[in-house]
Amino acid sequence: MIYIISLVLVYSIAAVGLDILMGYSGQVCFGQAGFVAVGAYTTAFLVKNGFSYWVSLPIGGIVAALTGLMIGLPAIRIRGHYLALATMSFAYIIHLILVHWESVTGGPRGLIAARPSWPFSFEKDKYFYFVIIFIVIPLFIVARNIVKSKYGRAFLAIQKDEIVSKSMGINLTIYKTLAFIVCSFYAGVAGGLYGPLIGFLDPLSFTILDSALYIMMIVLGGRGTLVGAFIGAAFFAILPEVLREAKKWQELAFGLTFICFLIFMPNGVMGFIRRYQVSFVEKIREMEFLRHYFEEK
Amino acid sequence: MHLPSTHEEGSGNGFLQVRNLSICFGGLKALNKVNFSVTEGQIFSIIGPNGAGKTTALNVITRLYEPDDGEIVFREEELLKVRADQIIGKRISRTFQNVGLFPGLTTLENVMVGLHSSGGAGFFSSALKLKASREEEAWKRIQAMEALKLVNLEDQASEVATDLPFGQQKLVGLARALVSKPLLLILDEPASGLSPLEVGQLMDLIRRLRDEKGTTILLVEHDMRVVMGISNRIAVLNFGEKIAEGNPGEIRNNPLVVEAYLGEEEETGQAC
Amino acid sequence: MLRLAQLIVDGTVLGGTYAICALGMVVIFKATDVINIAQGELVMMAAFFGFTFRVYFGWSFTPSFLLAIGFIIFLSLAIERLALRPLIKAPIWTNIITTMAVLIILQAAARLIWGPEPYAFPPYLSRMPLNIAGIRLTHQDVAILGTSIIYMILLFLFFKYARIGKGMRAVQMDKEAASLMGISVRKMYSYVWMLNAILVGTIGILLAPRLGVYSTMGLLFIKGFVVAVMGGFTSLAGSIVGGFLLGVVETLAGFYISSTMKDIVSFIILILILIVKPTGLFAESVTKRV
Repeated sequence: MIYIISLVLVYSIAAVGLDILMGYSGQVCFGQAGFVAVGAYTTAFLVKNGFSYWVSLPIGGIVAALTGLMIGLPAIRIRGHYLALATMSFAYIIHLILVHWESVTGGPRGLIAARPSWPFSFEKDKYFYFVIIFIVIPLFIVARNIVKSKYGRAFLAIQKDEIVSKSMGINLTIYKTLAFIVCSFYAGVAGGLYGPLIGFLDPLSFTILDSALYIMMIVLGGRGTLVGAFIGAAFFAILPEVLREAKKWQELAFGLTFICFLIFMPNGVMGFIRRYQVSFVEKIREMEFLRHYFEEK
Repeated sequence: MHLPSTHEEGSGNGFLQVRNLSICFGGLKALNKVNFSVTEGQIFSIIGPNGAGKTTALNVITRLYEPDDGEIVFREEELLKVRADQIIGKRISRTFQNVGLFPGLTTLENVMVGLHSSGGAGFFSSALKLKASREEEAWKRIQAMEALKLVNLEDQASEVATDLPFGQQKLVGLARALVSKPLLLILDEPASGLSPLEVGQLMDLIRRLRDEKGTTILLVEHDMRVVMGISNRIAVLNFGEKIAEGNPGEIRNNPLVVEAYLGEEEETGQAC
Repeated sequence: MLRLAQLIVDGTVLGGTYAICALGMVVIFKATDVINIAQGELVMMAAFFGFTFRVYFGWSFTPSFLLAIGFIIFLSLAIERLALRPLIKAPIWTNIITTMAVLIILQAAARLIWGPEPYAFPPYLSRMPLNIAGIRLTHQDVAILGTSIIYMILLFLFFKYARIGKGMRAVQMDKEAASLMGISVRKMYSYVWMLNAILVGTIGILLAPRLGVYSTMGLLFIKGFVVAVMGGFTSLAGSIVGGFLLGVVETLAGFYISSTMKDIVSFIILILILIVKPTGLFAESVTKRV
């Protein structure tokens, strides 16, 4: 149970990062699993070579952020499905590196990701859970700060109208790249937490399909809402558990449920809620108006 | 068709000077050696039939387009060396014909985007909500509310901007351009979509900006009531060329201007 | 020298299949703005259907082939109608996610129905290799290459002369204008998916004896993707040239450098294209209205 919640939190921090990139700055990215992998493997590799986990985790995030910078800069001029394809290629290349650079990544056999042992051993699930909580919650708050600040406004502006944004003084190069850096940093941290949570890293967990899963999380929960990222992450972490018995049917259920969501709730759960909120509020106003009207008479 | 000038070119004091501006789009000269000069504290209007190149001129000045030839000098600085996102830093702001408000933001937030370049709070300050960014946000909120008050829309501050009727959206766009207290305000058809009452209020507002705050205003407009009513000076474009320039009285009586608006069928713009 | 020629010929046969996959994707994209990530899975399903009829029911090749294509057409129409039609208004990349979901569904369904082990598909032509000027080709290779080329020619003629083909081109250029001209845009959407079904269905069954039939074989056809990008997703000729080019380059790289390079080559090419010329190498130029 604790394990599931931990998994939800880890997924959701990667999803939140992606939401800032896709939901706010509007740049499609099919490479999130690649950034998560960079963070995960960097952290695990450093720990394996004697560095403290508490140092390795931030470094993992920073290395992932640098990768994000590398991808973000050329991505500035690419949009829409071309950007989707480009970021997909990035994810695939990372996957290939994970499989073939055996000396560092352990190749298909994978890499062990140890939990921190200082100041005491965090081996137990419920101890590591607190590590996750203490990292994820502040990051979530920071994400909210960013999104509510001039940076969040700038991201949204860029998404909706690049030309007008320029005239408002928003430097597209800087902001678009910044969105990538934030997203990949969050992904990297998520990766650094994911590794020890699962216990080992395996290239098969970091494919284009996994990148797509993160996108599905924010689409399902509602793009551009941050909370939606959490909802989507919860869904995708919990579903396999619910279907644990019928493991064969898992993927089929995944795909079908997702398509149903897309068709009936295209703005995600949060979008659906907000729309209901609006029409609910309107109905109340209408009732108030009618009541006053009849009372006048 | 070139008009021999009956006035000195550039009778302005050179606050904004546009010299020999030319740009080609798809084989046609959208602007052909356009010259004009705007005096500080003046309301300068550009008029002309549709497709004359008026908005194009604005887009080149605000650096959204790169001209093929010509110079633009603003307060002794060559504007062509400046990027589009640096224009607002030069104290030049603008509105857009189709407004361009951002859908995900409230009215207030939209106006606050106009202050994006003001205030130096950095990324980490904003991310960690440190004092500098908190103060900057509070200051921006106040400035934005005051800008909204100027256009009488302070009650709509928390509405989603794109839910407002078009006329009000235009006013929000105006507030967004005003909030940075620009020295040069560029307005692209500010009156279109406004009711006659709102147009009158707009004219008053623009006049007050010039008289009370000394803002220089460059205006593209179709509504002759506005143009004739508030302009100090008017330039007329047709097919990318300036065919007349003068004060409202001169322009009103200029036969070439009337002819341009009525339109002769054989005339087309120059090919590139 | 002979080795080089052999590799080039092998690459050409392979490239032909890439080109056909890409053509299907491009045709769909141009008409409907949908990037069909599940293209490889359609190939896979075709192979499975063909296998079921040919081996499980024991029918001969031709009826199995035709019936399998029929099933794939039906499947494609279902995908278009149920998964994609409702999402016409969504942003462009949502289609990618949807077809990814379709990919997941198809793979899972295949595993559930036929199980995870690979199956063998009996060859449909003699296994004896032909020897032309020192180059070895199996009859099946010839059939594959021949069919690819015939399909390319048929497509060309179809778009140029057939009413439905011209209708598709109209929809690709301007949906509104096309519907004002009386062309049913919805019907065209269905037609392009049917066309794609024929293309990939054929590839699936023709390649089945060589590749075997298994639920993850769709991944092999990701290359069709790369080729489509080479053509900027808009140029049919580009997809054809790109397909053959990629097939040859890949085969050469696989032999002269290493077999891992084979996979990486296509993605490096993809990234380079996307950075340098995102509209593809051979894309038709699109003039943007300012």
